Amino acid sequence: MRRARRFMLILTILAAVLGVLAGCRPAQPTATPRPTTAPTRAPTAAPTAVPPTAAPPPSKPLIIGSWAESPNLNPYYQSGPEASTWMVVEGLLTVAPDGSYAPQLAAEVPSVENGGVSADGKVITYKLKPGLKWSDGEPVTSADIRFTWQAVTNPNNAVVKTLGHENIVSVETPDDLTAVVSLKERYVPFLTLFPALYPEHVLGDLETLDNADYNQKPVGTGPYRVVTWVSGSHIEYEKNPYYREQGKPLLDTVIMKWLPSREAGLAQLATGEIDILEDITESEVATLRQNPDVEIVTMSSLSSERLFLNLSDNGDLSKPHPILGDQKVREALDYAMDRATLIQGLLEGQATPASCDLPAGAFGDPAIPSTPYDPGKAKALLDEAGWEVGSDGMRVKDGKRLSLRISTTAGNKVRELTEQLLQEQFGDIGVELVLDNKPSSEFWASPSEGGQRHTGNFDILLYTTGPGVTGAFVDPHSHMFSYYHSANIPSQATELRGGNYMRYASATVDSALDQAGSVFAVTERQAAYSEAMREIAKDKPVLFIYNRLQIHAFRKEVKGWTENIWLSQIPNWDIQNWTKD
Amino acid sequence: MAKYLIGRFTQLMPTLLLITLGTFFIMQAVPGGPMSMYTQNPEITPQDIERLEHALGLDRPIHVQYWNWLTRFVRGDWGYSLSQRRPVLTIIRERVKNSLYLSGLGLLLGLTISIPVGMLSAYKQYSLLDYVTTSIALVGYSIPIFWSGLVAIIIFSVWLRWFPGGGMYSLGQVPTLADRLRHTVLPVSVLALFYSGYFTRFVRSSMLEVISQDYLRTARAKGLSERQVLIRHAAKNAAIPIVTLVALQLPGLFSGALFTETIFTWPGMGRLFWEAAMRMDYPILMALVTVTAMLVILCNLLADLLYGVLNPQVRV
Repeated sequence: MRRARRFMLILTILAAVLGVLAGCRPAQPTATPRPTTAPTRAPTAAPTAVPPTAAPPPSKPLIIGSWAESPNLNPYYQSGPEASTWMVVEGLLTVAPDGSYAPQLAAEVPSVENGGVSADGKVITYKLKPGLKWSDGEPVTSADIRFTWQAVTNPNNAVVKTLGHENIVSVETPDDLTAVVSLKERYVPFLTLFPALYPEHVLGDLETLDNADYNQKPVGTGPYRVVTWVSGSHIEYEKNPYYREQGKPLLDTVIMKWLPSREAGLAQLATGEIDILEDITESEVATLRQNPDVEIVTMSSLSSERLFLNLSDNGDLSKPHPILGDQKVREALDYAMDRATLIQGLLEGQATPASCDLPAGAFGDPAIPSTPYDPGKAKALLDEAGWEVGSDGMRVKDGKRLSLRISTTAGNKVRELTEQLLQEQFGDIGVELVLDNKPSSEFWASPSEGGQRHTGNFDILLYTTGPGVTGAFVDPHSHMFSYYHSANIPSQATELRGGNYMRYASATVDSALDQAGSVFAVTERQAAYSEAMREIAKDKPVLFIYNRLQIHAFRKEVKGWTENIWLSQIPNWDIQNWTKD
Repeated sequence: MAKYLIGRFTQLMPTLLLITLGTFFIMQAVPGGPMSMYTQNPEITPQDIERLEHALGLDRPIHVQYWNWLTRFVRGDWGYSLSQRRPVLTIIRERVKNSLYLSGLGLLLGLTISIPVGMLSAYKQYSLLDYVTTSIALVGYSIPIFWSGLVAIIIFSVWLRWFPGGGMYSLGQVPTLADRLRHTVLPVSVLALFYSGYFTRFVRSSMLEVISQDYLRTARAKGLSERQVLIRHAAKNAAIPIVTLVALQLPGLFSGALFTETIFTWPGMGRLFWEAAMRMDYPILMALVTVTAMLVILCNLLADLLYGVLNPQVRV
């Protein structure tokens, strides 16, 4: 009797365990209900009384593979532009492939000439294109523009960046299609305002946007709208029936798939399970080139890998850096870098030598040359600066060795190898380079956490940045001002805030940047930035190494895309024109 | 028995509390934090970061943050993910089914293979079968899953095109059961290879211990058939430590199989934890660590109880 009872107990426990395991059915996608006004895809079972021109069968879904899952789809709650969001959400203006601003939801780009910008630069008038609709059918009005401003500056909303909207004093809406924006003071990068519009009729009543459904399922004016988002797996989009371009988009369904493993992503591209692979590394290009079904697309970007040189003595602004404080030493390091070898060896030739922050575009100066490789000149410069070659090959001056620490994000293979190549190349001219890498979270740590960029406790830093690295909207001002203006030097007085990590102060650059930030005319700004960049190229607080290329892989079946280096992080910027065979 | 249970449960609370305290403070001590992904973006001004820290409650003193978290957690409010801005409970609920499905099937398949194979191998010790199975078991357990997973993808997905390379179902169409099963085969097989390697050795050694016992000789002498001896007597006793081991593996069904989920693009709990750790998403991390710790403690208790139930000599 006791044995039977025991046996039953074991059986019950095992059954419970197995029941839990077996009872768990495979997860249904967390399907959020489709909007009831949405027409479904073209019916596959056509009714008998079908007109001669029946709807075309639904096109095959386009599957885009991406490495890092977007945390949410709210444009102002994201750090950088996410390809997942900008198929759905649009703003007043965008940037065309030639680098000029172009109207997206606005009828035209406001300027002083067309009366869109007042003479003192403090009032901007936006006119919306007529007939615009949100993806739920409601009309887009100027109230949406006003609401966007209010939402972005509302302290109840934990938006990640305010992008200058805090400069806005008021937004008047004399009629449904006109918004008159008044600014506190002239804001030269005003064309970057309103990169995305929020729908007032959806979000207007919410106390906070932090937990709104909008964050997972935005309502926008873009060519697609979200159908479902299966967390960790994919987002499915369908054609936006209210999209303003007639007959577009050409593809009915787009799916954004998250690929946590690079090898799995490459395998899936090879088998055709995904059609596009975003943002692949240079080393993966070699594997993919062998596949005849895949086309490699390289888009140049505005970000460049550079060496940031600390001009202060470990953050102490009263003393120049004992080694790097001398411009001749910095110039020598510049000449000592063999960029061609780096690019060929580490990046399979998929990069171009960099020369300055803005080599192209409306504000750029393509005439600034990149420094050629000239170790002879480098050695001569160091000799001139008083650094003599010591017994072990490394230079010495007044008993001090020419030894510099270089730091980058640990674990990043390309950067670590770059450092080792530089060690060799600098060693040739008698400069000792000591590697001092840190894990990503420590490298990027904030001022309050004692991040080395902010405290100034470094000699050389290696990483990528540029006006194109962060936003889809590339006004160079915030980048240039932050990095090169002396007002942004971190110090005790600023509580270590400020982006001028090199502690670089140049009166010429300061006044040029001030000028560029205060006039509207593009030509005048370009001239000012050019002057600043030439001075920077002479003083060399930053040594430019190479311009990264944004590399994407497309299967041959996908057609209709064009390159836009200003939106290089959003390869699907013109997805409404894409087709798939 | 009741006293024993009460004793164990009273131990549970302080242990859990200590675990949560330790986790919370260690996370805070690690440099970086949820704002670190924003600091390298020049468009995000220090004022923005300050504003965000205040909005998310990250600028309050650490012990206040911990207390807020604790009082809300026990009431069922697990907070909002800092990056996804969705309730943590919702996120976990979405993913936990996927992990239970994947790891559960992997465990079941692993056991289905390892129990008969282990027993047979012990019964026929020193035979060719024994050597072959123990070698395969060792290999299966030693090969890292990310390698075996990738090899499986290369062979069965890229070369042979028999199975898809990842995901739970095909995208862009209504998923059918057949489609889901096709997607399940590779990841579950890879996991099962690992589990069966792990368990075969234990089953075999446990069986070997039992097989040499005298009472089996008595059973044979009494006239029982070999099958009855093996199954009614030997297997039941050999299974006791295995049941315990399986109970200890159960928390792994919740915490997911990170490598498998990564290689096969499976949206499960392992990847959730990894991604939350990369982003220093404290609410998700705290919830996952606490639940996993609770499961480990409970499953240990379960294992101890089961052992007592099955083996009267170890009654508590």
